[in-house]
Amino acid sequence: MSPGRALAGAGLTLATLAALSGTGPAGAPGGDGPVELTAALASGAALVQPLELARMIRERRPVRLVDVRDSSEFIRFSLPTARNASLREMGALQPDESGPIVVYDDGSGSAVRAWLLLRRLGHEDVRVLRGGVLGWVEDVLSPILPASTAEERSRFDSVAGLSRYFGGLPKIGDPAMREAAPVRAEAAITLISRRGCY
Amino acid sequence: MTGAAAYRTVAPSLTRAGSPAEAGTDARRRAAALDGEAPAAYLNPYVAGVGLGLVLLAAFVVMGRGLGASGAFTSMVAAGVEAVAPEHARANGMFGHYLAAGPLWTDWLAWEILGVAAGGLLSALLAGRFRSAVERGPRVTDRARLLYAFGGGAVMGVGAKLARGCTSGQALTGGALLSAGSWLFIAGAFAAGYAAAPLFRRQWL
Amino acid sequence: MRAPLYEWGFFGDGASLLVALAVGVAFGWFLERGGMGNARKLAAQFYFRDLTVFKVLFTAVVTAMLGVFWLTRLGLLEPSLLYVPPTWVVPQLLGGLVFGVGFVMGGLCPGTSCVAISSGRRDGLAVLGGMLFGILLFGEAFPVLEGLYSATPVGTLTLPEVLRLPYEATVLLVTAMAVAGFVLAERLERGRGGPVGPGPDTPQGGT
Repeated sequence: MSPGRALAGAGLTLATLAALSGTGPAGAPGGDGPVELTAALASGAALVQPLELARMIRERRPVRLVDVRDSSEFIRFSLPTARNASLREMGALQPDESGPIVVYDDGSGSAVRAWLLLRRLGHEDVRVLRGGVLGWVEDVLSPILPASTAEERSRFDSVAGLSRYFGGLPKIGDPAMREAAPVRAEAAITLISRRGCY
Repeated sequence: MTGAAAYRTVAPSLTRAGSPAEAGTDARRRAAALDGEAPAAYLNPYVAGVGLGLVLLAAFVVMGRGLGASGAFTSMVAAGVEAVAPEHARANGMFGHYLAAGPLWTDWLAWEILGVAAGGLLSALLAGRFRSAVERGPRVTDRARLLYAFGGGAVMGVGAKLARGCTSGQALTGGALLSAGSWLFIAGAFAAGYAAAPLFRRQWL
Repeated sequence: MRAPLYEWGFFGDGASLLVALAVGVAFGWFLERGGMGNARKLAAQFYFRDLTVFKVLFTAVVTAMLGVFWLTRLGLLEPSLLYVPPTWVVPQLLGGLVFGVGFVMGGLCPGTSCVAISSGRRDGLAVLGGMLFGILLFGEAFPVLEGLYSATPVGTLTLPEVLRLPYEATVLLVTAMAVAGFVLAERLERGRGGPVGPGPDTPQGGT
């Protein structure tokens, strides 16, 4: 039998079986395409600010927080209520319309990859924590905010309350101080771990 | 139509597929092949097609993406333009888009196309088909053929950019994933190829 | 384990470049094996002399399509993670038409020009040079062409959606049409001198 003949037979057999195989667990290839994903990223809907996330956790709103760093880093320090999952474990997350999935990393880019993966797997509301672990440390655990006017004072009080809820150390000051003495995520995490907050 | 019935319908004509043996109908070449000098005949096109299809499938399974060629060349052109005029390149809507993806050496398609050249060389050497030549019809000079090749390449470059891909990225990859735009591209390319063929007959036949 | 492996984080970006190289080598190997690095063989497609381009292209498309279908059906591949090229109706049809003219004029396509070069064909180098020039032209004219380039976007659109057929039926339809096309191709080729071989068939000096 010539190769062409054999291959035509094999191809037609597989295709006929395909048509007779009924509807399977999944449809044709392609979830959200780059057009939709780029639009979602550009609109800012893909990000969540650390303070917003902190409020969501404190108010016990339905949010699924996923830490995509290595498990060793997760054990040392993680955000409250977070669970650790590698990219390949994302398929286990069930679609749930009640609240968003928030993913975070340590700036390695894994969170964005996880975001893409989850969006393409059909999850509608997925967000990346802005700044990752460092964003959490800077904005929630060690916020530096001015408090000279009444307006600033009331904002500081609100943030400070949230910060202390999570065991943070809010400071009054010029946010630009951060530039002079940046909080090192590593140092902050070590400090927090020793204090046994988590 | 069942597979078996369809198979019986098509089978007789497919037995005459261009098998390797048939490719050597030229008596001179067959004699030379016995001497072990002539290049080996090309692989049966259906077998080569299945091979390519499995490579494409492997790319889907391992990477989740297909093959490409014109994308790699666009990255190279973008990098070239950036080397000459960085500001100009980054401000350009198309080059800027490619440059934003990172340096050339991190470009997936650039590595893939490097592999394509290496794979082609390996296969050609092993089959004795490596030959320094200009492929052309008998009625044109090498020089004319090279001019046509350059012109054709330029037209193709413009077409591939407009269509966001070429035979690899659109026809093969998009075709296998049943992308509607890719099938439009395939239809357009074949239709225009046949329509324009008489203009270039002299070059080939 | 469920494919695509890269999307699930089985390996990182560095390793993905090695994958690219390996995939490329296999791609180039089969292109050369099929004679796709030979411009005379490719161009003969458009004169009904040698329909290898058609046969190789559609055999590959059908093979990969059936592979994707069955791996998905067996639960080994997550289809929503495959990158399906999105559709822009007018630019892709127009681009295809322009591309087709360039293809029959140059005799090679972007991928096959690489194989032509690495198997020693100097016309491959000219096609590549022309293509880089064409891409440069397009890029420089991009501000003018952008409207056309971005016209009629429809996002990710697949044939089952267009034809309003189930995915399964579309797979059978495409396969059956390809096989019918191959039968027709074999008929058309008959009595036209046989396929273009790898040897130096070009009589030197011309007529």
